[in-house]
Amino acid sequence: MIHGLKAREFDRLSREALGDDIQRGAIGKATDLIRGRRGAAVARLPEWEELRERARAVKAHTLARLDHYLLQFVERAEAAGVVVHWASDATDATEIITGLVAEAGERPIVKAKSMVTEEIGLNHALEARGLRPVETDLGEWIQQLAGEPPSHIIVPAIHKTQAQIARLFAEQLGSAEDASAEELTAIARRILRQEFADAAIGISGVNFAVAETGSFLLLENEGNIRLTTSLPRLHLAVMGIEKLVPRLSDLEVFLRLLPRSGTGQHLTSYQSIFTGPAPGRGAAPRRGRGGGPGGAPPPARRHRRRALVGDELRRSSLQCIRCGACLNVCPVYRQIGGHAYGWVYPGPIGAVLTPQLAGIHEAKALPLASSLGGACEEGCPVKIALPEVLRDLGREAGEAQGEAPGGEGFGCGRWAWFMRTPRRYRWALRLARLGFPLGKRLGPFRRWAEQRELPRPAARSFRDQWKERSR
Amino acid sequence: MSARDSILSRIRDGLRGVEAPPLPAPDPVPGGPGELAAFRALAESVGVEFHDTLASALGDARSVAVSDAPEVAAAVDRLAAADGGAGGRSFFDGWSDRAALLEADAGITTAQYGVAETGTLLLIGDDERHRLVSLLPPLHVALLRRDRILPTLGAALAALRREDPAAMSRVTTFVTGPSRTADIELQLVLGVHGPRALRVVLTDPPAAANP
Repeated sequence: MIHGLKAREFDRLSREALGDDIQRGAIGKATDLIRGRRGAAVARLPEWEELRERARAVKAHTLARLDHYLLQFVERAEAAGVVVHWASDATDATEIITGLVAEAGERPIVKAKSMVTEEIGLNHALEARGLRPVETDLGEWIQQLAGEPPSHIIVPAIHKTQAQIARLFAEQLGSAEDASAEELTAIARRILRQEFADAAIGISGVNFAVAETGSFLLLENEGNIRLTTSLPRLHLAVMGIEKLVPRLSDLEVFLRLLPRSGTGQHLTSYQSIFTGPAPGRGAAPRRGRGGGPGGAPPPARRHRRRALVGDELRRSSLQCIRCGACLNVCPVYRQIGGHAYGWVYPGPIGAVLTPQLAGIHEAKALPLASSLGGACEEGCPVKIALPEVLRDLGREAGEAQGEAPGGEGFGCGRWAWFMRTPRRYRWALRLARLGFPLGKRLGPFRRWAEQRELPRPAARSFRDQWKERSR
Repeated sequence: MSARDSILSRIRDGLRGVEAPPLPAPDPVPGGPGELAAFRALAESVGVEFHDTLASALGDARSVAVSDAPEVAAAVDRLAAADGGAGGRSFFDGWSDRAALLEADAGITTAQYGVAETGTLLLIGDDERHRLVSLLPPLHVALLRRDRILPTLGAALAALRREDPAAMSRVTTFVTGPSRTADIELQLVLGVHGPRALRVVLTDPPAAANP
């Protein structure tokens, strides 16, 4: 049982999302902005392609020797004083964490943004025990106030307008209905400062873990991760096993790629590198089992990561560094937003990870939610072959549905889906115009298109021209 | 079977017969110092202000937290002597008085290094108790020696690395500009959780002792 998994309802969820003009407007505007900033940042770095190739190679090597690097990381982290817990699945992970929280006296909990804790449904598990974990990243806190999961990996409330957030704060916190972004942020700072001051336990994720030193790195802009990992006496870091790199020096390439890919910054405001528990945490033993201060990262392996390890193509999905770049360039994501994907990871990487981690039967429609454009692969800083993995998963989905193996059923199924309503048809035309130059080379139609000269879609559709002339 | 053993054995089953592609050789780390002008330009591009004196960097801050670095204490002493007093400011040990730190107007620390490639300050936690002093007050003033500029992030990582992981600093923080968010319609707002302003005062290396 996977908490919050609704990927089976993709059809309904995406249909509903297409009807939400405010959300579509907010996402379109925001993703355009991030894409522009990313493009400018990448253009200033002539060695961009070399960096991508290096990052891919480091990750591919590490994943192919994952057992070795995982053991090395754990040994060195333990030598530095970290208490490591191993969790073999989501239930295991939440039980370990709730156990550590109980041991620490069920004191107030602050949380830094972490995708893996979303994966394991940690907040839900803590709330089921009557605890109240407080998300402290501004976007995550907005989503927590709204009672919704995040809808984007980097910008959790990307689908909301400022006016909607101001109304949410007004309802929940009694602030002005027309508060500015500056005022809303000040309100969040004031309330969350008190939460930080009271907190006894801080829970974070891990962006990168270094096998040779047992260190781990966290990146952020707001400072909430620094607060979460410094004010409370106990720091619990939840880490997926795919986060490893072999050497400290390997962090350089990822520090250069991740911020530029995620937000277009040359570096985010803060990176924290932890090697063992932080100094100056009073008299408690540094190595007490979970009770000691400082980092205790349980390598929380979620669901079926192990199953991905064996196959080279599938294994590349684990290279993901959670930058969100593939979401921002995906014409499907731009139209339907994050929640329609029905689980933690939206966009192309969601369509790749959800069926693999949750099982293809839970997410048969996701591999079809692709424009075939290939923009996601070009935007991916670690060169995950997203369209190829999607095609592979699409075949598996087709087989699971009883179709003969092979591309056609998959392609026609997709076509039928697009043709089912006028809105989808219009959308498909728009996608065709955007994705045409690449769709010929990539995507399941490639083999078919190789033999043919495809008609170029008209720059403006007949529908659009008709509408304009009849005005 | 323990969770550890079952996880490892399943990974090994999955990877049986898999030939690992080679790990790329590390990029050579540039030797020598980084350029101060480049450091400054990159830092200014993300909103860092450079001040010639501590008094100017502190502005109208009244309650000022300090880290335990001797350089900070010396700078505060010089400020007090020059002003003929502290200019109405009060200074206190930020790392020992958390309640006061939460109310302070400013925090003064040093930075162990600057990084020219990105305009980043390196705060090495084992060298100085500056973690919270640099984070909780709305203004962070960092003293940085002009001769402590590293060229690249790679050089910064090399400076942190120790053969024995237990000898690495337990926490190191890279700071590039003030705290920021863009979570509401991508509008930039400074000071969401950490300092709203980051000001750097460049200092000279101590004069070499006479032989």
